[in-house]
Amino acid sequence: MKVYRMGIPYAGILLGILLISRAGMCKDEIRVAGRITGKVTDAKTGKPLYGANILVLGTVLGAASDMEGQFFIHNLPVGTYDVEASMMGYKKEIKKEVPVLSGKDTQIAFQLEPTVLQQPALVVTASKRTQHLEDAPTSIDVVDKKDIQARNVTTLDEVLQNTAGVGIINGQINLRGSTGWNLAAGSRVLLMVDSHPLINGDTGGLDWDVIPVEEVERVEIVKGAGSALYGSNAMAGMVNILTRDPTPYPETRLRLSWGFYDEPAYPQWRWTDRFLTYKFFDLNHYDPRHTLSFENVDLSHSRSLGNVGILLKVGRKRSSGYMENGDYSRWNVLGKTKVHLGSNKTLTVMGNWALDNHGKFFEWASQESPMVVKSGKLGDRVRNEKANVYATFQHGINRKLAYTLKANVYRNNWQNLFHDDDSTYAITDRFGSEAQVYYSSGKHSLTFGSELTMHHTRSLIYGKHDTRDVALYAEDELKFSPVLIATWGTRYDYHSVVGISSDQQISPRAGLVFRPWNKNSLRFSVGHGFRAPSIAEVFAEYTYSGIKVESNLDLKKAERAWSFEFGTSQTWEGRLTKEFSTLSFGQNPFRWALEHLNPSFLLDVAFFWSQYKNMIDVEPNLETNTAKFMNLGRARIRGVETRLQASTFDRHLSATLGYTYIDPMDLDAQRTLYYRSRHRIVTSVEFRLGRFSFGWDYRYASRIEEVIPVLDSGYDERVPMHVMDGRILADLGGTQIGLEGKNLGNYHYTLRQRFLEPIRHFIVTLRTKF
Amino acid sequence: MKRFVLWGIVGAIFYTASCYHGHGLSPLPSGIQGHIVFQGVWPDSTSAVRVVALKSFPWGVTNRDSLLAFFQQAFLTGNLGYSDPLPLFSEECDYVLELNPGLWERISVVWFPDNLMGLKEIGTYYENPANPGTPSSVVITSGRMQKGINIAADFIHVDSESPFLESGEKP
Repeated sequence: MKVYRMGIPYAGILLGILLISRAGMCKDEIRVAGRITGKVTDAKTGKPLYGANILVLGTVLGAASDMEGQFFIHNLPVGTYDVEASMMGYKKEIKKEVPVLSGKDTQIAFQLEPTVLQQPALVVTASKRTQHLEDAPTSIDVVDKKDIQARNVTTLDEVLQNTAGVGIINGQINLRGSTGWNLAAGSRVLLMVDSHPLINGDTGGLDWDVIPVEEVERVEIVKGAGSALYGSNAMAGMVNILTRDPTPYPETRLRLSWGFYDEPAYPQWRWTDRFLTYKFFDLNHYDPRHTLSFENVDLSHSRSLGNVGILLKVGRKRSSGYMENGDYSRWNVLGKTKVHLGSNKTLTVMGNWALDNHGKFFEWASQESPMVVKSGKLGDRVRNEKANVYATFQHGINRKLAYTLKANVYRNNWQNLFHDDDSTYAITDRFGSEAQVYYSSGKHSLTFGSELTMHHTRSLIYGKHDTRDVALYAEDELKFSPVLIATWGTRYDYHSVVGISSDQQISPRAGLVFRPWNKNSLRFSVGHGFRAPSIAEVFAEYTYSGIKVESNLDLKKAERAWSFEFGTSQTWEGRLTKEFSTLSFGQNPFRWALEHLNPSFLLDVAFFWSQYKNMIDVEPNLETNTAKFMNLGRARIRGVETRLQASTFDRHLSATLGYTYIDPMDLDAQRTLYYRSRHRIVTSVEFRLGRFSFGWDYRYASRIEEVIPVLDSGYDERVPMHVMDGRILADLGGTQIGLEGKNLGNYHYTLRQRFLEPIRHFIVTLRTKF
Repeated sequence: MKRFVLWGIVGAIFYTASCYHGHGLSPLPSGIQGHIVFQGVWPDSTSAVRVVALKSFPWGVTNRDSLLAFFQQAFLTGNLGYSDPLPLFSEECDYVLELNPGLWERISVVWFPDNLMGLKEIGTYYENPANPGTPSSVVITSGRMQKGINIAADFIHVDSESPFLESGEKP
């Protein structure tokens, strides 16, 4: 297929925009328009709220409040509207029948009541548009910036693994058992930054180090088949990382952190005398330059110049690692600008460059020396340079119609610097573009669009290959009533490896949300997902550490899955004590405790079932000690997930608990799928007292049942995972100081063979803004 | 007072945080494992039967007091290893014995009566049981369980004078 032919879907989309934009406007709307303005404040304190979302219900229009809590919604046709304001940590408020007069401003004021439970009001990932969290028919977890900043992390995957049903093995994300560890190739979860895909073009894997952790506003994790809107890689869900917008005022942020690794639990594993605790009390020998330590520096500046917001950031990370070849050195530079081009038009452009030079630790020397790299591999390094640029243009044409145009380029260039002259490299360029239209009319909210993606790969181990992907999609949300919402849609994908193979997919999806009474909802969704094999899975021909990965040119079929989910959520929300109690502890401790206990809960239970066909997995050959990627037959992953969020003592004490059970089976081979833990528990407790907050996380995963036998060392090194983290944070106005201990129990475990996960380490952080 | 209660909650959290799950993965054990076949009749006075390994065998020592002192010293210096009690009155069984890396001169099956001083060696490891010669030593390497250290034990030796099957001067 010629590339120019791929412009046809775009022409169709643009024509659609033109036609619908005329259909969406009556003559009166074109001629006359008014404006809704107002202010959003905290009902208790009266302080303005920055970043509240204001939506004109039944339309595509909305705004966000500025530093003074003020907002402006332009170009509203004359009429009456219901306007909603919402913000995380507050009850949403709806102003009914707000009149809009020709050429005039209508002033409204929102006073939002604080809630006990911290729930996000709006999400953007599940349906490719802004929607209420409770309207989405699939399970969604949201990790916000407070969660991220409280846990002082180097890469974002460290935070996500505290989310129910999320496991990370060597950077591969595993939603509800969807992905195990495919030698770091292929992902059944689509990673995005600001709704732009960030998937490695050659391996199909995920690059966490390119994500600017300090600039993340929130992360939305959508579980379940997402191919109906997002195509390949989203067959088990999406992780969308939303970065913060430039601030309307000048602001500089600085984060400094330093940490060190403790010694392993067993004396025979102490492979070096560079552990800080070895010589910490011996000042004559203490040398901070040669301890196993790490540090991060992040500096950013943000401001607005008229209608143009600018955010610039530079980050530097260095670590000695906790084992041989475990060191890395990273630079990260980011620039983001958001331009308001008149009413309801915005252009956002972001560029991000990352350089990473790290030691290569593929497998340990032996279980007697698990922090020592295999003989002959000492000094092996990998240099990796990545650049990601995207642009998003959003335009709300009128109250019913909006469209978004997106374009992105992602380059990943890595090279092995191995001392045995292995200088294998890969350079992959990804070009993506998308046109999307959102049309809202009456009970319908229609989203449709088109995507075009191209990959260009040059590599010693993959060869030179190009891929092309074209897609068309449409999804409609039908609101029968406030208690019953149906969603249905489908997507067509054409995928080709130029000159070699092509494939096409139809991925339908349907969902239903039913809210029979207040604070309770039932949801059901069914969807078809697929994932085309990555370049690496088809063409990789490589030997490392005695294991040979062979290419498989017969791997042409995409893996497919039907996924079902049935879930229910229930909220019990208590009142904030300060609304009704003036009793002190000393007057009546028992009554005080009862009044202040006022717990609030959110309980969510989901049953899920995915039936795979042609699942792509590693097929080992024990006789030749080789492995290659193949289409397995049928596979099934089913299970149940429970999430509990609780808060008490006027939000001073909050806790979350998540439990996920999965039953992952290769139905043809009648064995458990590789690298899956059947049980997974995550729990977190946060306690705030004045300027201080204390946090504790615990993660458990049952022992992995099956591993790729070609890597089997002959010994059973698999143990369950028990990891505890603890932290103390002091908030001194614009400055925060944190102390965090990770893997406090110094628990040693592996998630794949011959690779020891991080041992106990401690971090001190200073975060300030001015 | 209110703060006192809240601090108590903090303490409770950190107490919970200290819940200990061990250290998970550990260095691989080294040692021996094998199969034991019992011959003869188990004596009623049997208290326990164990596999015992000695880094150096007390050749020439026959005096009970000297033998006791030897065992105490070997135990304290890590030169003596012994297994969990083997199942009583069985005809055969498997065993596992963790040992430090190095040369272990003697691997024996030892019968213990109620009176510890009445212990008797009822079997010892021969690399080639068909042509036994002198008892075989075993070299243990780090992180490896050496398999196939099979021993034939015979309760007929319970009645012998010497505590060992062969205990003369070092050959």
